[in-house]
Amino acid sequence: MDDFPSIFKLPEVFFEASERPKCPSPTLLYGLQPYGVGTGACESLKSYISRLADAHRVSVFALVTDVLGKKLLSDKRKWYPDITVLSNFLPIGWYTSKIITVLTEATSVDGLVSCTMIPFQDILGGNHLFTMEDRHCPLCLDEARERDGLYCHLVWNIACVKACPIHGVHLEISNCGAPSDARLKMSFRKMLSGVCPFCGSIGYQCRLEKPVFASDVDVWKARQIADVISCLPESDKIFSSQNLFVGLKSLVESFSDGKSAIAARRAGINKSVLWGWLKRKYAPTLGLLLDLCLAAEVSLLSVMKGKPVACTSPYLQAKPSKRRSQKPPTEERETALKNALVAVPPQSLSAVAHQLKLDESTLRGKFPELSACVVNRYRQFRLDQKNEHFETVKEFGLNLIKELKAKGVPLTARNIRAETGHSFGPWTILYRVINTALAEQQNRPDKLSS
Amino acid sequence: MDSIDTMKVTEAEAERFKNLSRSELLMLPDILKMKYLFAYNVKHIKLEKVAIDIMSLLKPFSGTSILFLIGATHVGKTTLAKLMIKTLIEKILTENDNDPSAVPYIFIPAPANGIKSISWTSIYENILKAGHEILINKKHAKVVENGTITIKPARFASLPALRDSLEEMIEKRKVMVLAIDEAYHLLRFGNLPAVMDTLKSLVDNKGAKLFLIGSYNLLELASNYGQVSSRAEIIHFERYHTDNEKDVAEFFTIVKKIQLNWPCEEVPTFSAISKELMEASLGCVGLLKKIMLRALEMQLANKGKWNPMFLSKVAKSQKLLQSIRTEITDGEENIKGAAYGETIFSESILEDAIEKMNGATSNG
Repeated sequence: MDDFPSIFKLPEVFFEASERPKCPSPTLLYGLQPYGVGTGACESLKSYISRLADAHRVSVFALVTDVLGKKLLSDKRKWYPDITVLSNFLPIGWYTSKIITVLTEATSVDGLVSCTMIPFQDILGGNHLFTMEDRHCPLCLDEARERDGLYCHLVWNIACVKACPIHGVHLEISNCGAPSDARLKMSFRKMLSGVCPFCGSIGYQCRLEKPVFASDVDVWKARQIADVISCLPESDKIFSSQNLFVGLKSLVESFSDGKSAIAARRAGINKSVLWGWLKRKYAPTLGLLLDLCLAAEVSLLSVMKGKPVACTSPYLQAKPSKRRSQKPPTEERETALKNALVAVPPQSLSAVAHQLKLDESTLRGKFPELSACVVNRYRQFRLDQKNEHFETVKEFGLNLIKELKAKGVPLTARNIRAETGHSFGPWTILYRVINTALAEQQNRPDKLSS
Repeated sequence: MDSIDTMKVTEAEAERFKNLSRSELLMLPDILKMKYLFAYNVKHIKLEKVAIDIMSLLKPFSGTSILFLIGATHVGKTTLAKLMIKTLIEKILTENDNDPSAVPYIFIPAPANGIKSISWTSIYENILKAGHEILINKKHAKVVENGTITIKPARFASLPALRDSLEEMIEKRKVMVLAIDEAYHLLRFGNLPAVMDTLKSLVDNKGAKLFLIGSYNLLELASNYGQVSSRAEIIHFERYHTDNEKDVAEFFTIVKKIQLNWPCEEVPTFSAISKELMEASLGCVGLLKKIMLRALEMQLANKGKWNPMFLSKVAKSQKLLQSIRTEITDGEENIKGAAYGETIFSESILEDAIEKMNGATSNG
């Protein structure tokens, strides 16, 4: 009876309301805790919301539209219900921060912001930070499936991460591997992170490919990002744009005696980009920052903290600094263009540019007349090729009509498809040819040609 | 004025009555005087005894997962259950580590109408509503089989969807006790072991306890269930018996306590006829209160003047009373030996056992 109240504490008389007693209103949604907070395997917001919807046994759409959306509206926060569900679950951005606020109120779970990259909103550049396609590590999902705790990691969403920081294998794009006839109807599909929505396979078991080991560089990069993600719960204390600026300056100082152009060249990034970061013109992008850290062999986390620390990965072999290849001289370019004018078969301008390791626009700018001749010659060549092909198909089509008539088979799309073994639709040349031939035979105007 | 059966007292009114002085009570309008007596309850021995048993069995690790509270009509079962759940909720609220998403106690009535399938739907819906569940009409059932997860879609929440959602809710809201009042309505489902299996599986492996409250009819549901022997306990809320001196004395105290706070200036001396009142209420405190409420209603209608002639109309007619008495005595006969505490250690065996144990201790 220690933890349970005693009935003896009641007074001799007591008053009872008619209604049955109720617990005070709890939080609107279950207080599910996100997985892996404070580690590199932290759960992503998208995964958390899908798990929350699953726990309430409602669709993600219903949860977002009918609960979170309405709550945003009732709190007079800006909300567009027609915005697709996916776009609201990106790990960064205005909507994400609003959803985090609403979710925190609705679940009373603190630290949901650690499931996103919101702490880096004003520190890192947002361009190309995330992938729009879902990715996963097959080995992580296998392990999670066995312990019944399936979820998707935040690190899988980051574009510059190509490998799993735990298993060192390539991240796979979360596409269904099942044959099309095994796919479920829309109304039977379950939207749950780590589960294939098309066939319902838990942990994407439908994909039969074996995991492929990633390169040492990719694994190193993934681990650096995972280290940063593990510090997200303390982001307020650790990360700031000032710390990153200080870290970058120290890195350039130690790496190339403070010469940003040299540091940029060694890291294989544009010098103006690094100059822009150091002059605080724009925020560093994570992928390029990681390239710089890789070249300088310092840890990303230490740079973001403001004190770069050497970090030579045991898996990482020394990478020679990248040097830009020498540009071909003007004479060589001109000769290549002239040769292209007499080459058989004719060459396209982009093929010539590729040979010279230049951009097509560079050739156009330097040699406008020669380039135009090359382009016209190649264009004429392609037109001739196209006409020739059309004539061949026309002959084939006419023969096909004759054959089918001889067999007594009606001239339908299905029969033509069965006979030729190829697709037959309005977008195919054969379709146009047969249509024109039939119009001629039946003395009716050819709608397609007209 | 509301009839006695449909009278409603709000939480605020009950709270107000708690602090009323005698003079304030007498100043109340007639309707509130009726409500006062309606909400008025007294602590008595049988209530305390059952409450202690239930409290110990509702403890998280008591080894009992299903609890039946069975007793005569109007003996005070619902009052007791309300009191206990309220006390437990108040206790939870005072704890510091109180989880804001938790709903540890759910108390619902079993729905009394509808055909079989609809009734299960309404039971599940009632529990889900009591658990503050969202989007009840948009639930879907999750099917996990052969390494795949799919959903069973439904235009409106189907029975499996509600069931699936309910199991999840009990786990996620950390429900400790799921109390169903008037549980004898569940008997309408026919297949009693199946009913019990359905209810039991709701709380199985989730640390929750099922608390079913009802009259002696509920005994049928309890005894038809195979696992009663190991997982369930039946608590018998007994009435007061006229042939037991202790009971007569306690009933006199109850009548006296009600009389003490009688909400009229002229207070009838009910204690003088406590034995007759005991007979008229069959020893059930709830039935006694109903008699008292009728008496008060008549007195108030008579401008507060008491007339002993009212007594002839406040009690149940003899034939009705006889029918209730038969029902109760049959129930009491059936429950003998099945209730909690009625073990092989009867009074004489227990005395013998204690003597033996004490003897063994003194002999070393």
